[in-house]
Amino acid sequence: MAAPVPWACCAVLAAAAAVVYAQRHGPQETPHVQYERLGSDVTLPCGTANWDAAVTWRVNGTDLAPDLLNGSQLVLRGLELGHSGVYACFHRDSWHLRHQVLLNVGLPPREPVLSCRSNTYPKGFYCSWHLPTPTYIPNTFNVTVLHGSKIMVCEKDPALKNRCHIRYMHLFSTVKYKVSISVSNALGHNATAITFDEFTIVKPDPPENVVARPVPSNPRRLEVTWQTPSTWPDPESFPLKFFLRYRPLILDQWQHVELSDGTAHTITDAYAGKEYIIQVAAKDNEIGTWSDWSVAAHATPWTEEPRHLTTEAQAPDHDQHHQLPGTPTHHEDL
Amino acid sequence: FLLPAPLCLLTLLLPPLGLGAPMSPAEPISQAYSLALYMQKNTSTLLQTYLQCQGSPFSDPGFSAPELQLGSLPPAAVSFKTWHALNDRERLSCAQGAFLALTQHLQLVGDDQSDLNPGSPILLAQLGAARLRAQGLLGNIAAIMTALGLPIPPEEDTLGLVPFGASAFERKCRGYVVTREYGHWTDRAVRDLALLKAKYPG
Repeated sequence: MAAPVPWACCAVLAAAAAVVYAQRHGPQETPHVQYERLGSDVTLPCGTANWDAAVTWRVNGTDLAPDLLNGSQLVLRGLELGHSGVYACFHRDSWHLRHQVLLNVGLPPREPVLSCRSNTYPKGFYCSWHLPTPTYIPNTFNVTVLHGSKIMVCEKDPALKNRCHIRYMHLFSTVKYKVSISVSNALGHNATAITFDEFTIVKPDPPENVVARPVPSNPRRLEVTWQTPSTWPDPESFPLKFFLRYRPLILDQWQHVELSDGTAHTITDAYAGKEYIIQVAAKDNEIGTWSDWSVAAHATPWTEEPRHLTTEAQAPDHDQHHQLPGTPTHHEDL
Repeated sequence: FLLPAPLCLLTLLLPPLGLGAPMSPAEPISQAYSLALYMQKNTSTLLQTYLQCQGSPFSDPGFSAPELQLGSLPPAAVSFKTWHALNDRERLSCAQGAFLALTQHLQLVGDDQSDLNPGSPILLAQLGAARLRAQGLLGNIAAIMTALGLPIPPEEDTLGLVPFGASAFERKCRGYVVTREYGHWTDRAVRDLALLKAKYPG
């Protein structure tokens, strides 16, 4: 009698193991991924279960109220972003997992916004794009560039994922560029295109290293120097002209000076003793548009006596010297 | 009508002759640069006036046929790498050859338009002015080349055997290419002269 018992035991154990295995690794090993539109209604069937099967639904591990059910199907109305998650339906009595859905609520893409600019004329230009409103689900973009009838390669930017770069092929011609972009996701697609001449999209980066210094013994002068933007490839054959603006901090009105060459300028009409803010912009001599304003430089013209220079008018208090430790006082020299 | 254009770089076949000690080229460069800038202000007007006078399809809004070229006129389009690598002699020879061809072609277009559009005095005047300015620029370029001790290539006939039987449509196309390339060559001359200006400061 001993021999058949172990065999029977093994058979039962094997069967039990098979049932447990079937419960754990059911027909839905990985959840089915589903995309649905924000605001819409969706009915999730419980896999292949009959409509009248007794099931329980859970979302991200939390039970869902039975009033959402239509038979064994889960009905979600007016989808919101918060509805995204893993929905699982279980056989009510055995807790056998029947079906899993990863629901992503989102929107089809609206028309993308595409713009191109050259800050490295005449070497090339770049195009950037974005969607005006988020879709909340993954999007794929596809950019094509035509120069006349020739297809050009737009190299992806190594750092920014919504930008690519095109190298200029020819100077001194007016074959237009046409840049088209299409965007698609699981809920829809959209596209747009722009056409332009290469010279219309030229906009340099702002001048760099703008420095303003007082001029010794000149209470109304400030000397301003700057550098051409380092991204501009050839300032000698493609020279830049500059626009300088300055004002004392206490006033709102800017003074402007346009400079056709050189990277220095002396302001000669500064208000004595007032702190100034100065900015410079750049533009190619012939084509394109002005850069953004540079980082501002601050300076105050030279004054006779050393004192704390502030932007408010100072009450005359020559006898009270605010001495910082270690700074020499000069008033005895005057 | 479709003779191969003399390539700019063929001028390298001329042996370099020493024409005496070079003078400072800064003054002629500056003059040429000012003239080129002045010319540049009128080039798009010339093209627009020309197109308007030819009737459809030239006068249609947005008309553009960039791949249409004349074999006898060197195209201004060039890659940045090539353009940047030109030495003074190549650069000035290219410009000289182009504006010489342009003066001759502008004369031809003027003749064609007197025939095709006799009632367009403004167009004829603009074509005449463009030709004179191109001629002026040729003189300035020659002065720069002399100052740099470079040989001035001899003036040659760029038109060659212009077929007299060219139809009205062919002649209108020809005029379009000439007025368009005049603009492109002027843009290029401005850049060439800016580069030379930086290279030979006064």
